Amino acid sequence: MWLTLAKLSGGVMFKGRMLGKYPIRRTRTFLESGEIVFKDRVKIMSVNYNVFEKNSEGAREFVFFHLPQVQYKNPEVQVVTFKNLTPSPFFKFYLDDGEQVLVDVEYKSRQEIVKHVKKILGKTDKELEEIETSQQQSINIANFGPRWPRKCICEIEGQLPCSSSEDFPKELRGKYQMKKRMEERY
Amino acid sequence: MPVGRNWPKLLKAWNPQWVIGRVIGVRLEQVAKVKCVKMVLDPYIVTYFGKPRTFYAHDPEKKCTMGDVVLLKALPEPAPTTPHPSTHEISEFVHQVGRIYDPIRGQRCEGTALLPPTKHKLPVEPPKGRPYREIPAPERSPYEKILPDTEYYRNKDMHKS
Repeated sequence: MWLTLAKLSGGVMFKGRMLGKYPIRRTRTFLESGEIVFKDRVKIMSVNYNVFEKNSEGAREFVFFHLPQVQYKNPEVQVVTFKNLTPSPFFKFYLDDGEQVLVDVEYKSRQEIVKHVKKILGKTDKELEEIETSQQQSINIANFGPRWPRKCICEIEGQLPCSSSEDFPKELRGKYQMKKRMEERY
Repeated sequence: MPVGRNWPKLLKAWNPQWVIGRVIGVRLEQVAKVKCVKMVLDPYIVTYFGKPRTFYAHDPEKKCTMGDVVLLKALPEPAPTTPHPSTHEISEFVHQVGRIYDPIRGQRCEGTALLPPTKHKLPVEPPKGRPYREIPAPERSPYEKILPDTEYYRNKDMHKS
């Protein structure tokens, strides 16, 4: 189990454990399990929250847990945070047309915030499934190579077996072909 | 194991249409230097770090001070200013220094406290940058239309409950 954790964390471990508070946030599986995928119109997301006030507890937890997920799923959206500027916490989304969307986040828990943002400006589950299926269809199943499950042409049915287990037939070897050419010349 | 961390190449390829940034430089004549931060994933540690890049914004009317948070929009062609051609223009002031408004309450605030209506003035000492008398007076913020000044006293302790 610790081997997989080390791989997921990039090897940054100490005494068999990952470093930091809630280090599960630093794993690729956690980042890929993010729910919010923004629509193409959203360009900037700005988060205003307070560090010590009770009204922005949900916002603080959202920034701690879910903001890296949001950035991982939307690498082209600029995510900006501001601390302790206003008494009330809020999110603001800047869209492509110049339109702005204000979201009040006071006294809300992080799960409610995630649901609300996904409902307003997130892609629905149907759209995400369609994107996944289209990506799978574009990948050719007949491919082989270091990036795909079949590493060598010898694994494919109907091709020659691996040269490490069985010798090639004589006619296909380079030595034999060169020898024949030399004999034909002289 | 070598890890791909080519930050300069990544930042040079970042030319967005809309950016938010903070004003750093104000001494150039028709140009404001704006620092914008992009969150980038470090692939080994798997955390996000902010990498900065400066954009040059075209403001001939000299509306901004040092430290303003500004929304930039990309110009279709870079304006021919000296010494740097400015690629963006200022479309909106998100937070101005000394004049921050709470959009939900609709009033001016300082930190986590609302200001009474009598104190809606500029601070005495301006921060680094041009003095306030050179900057044109601001228009009324759109958030002030949500609540009038009299609502301050009713909403003063709303967040403390």
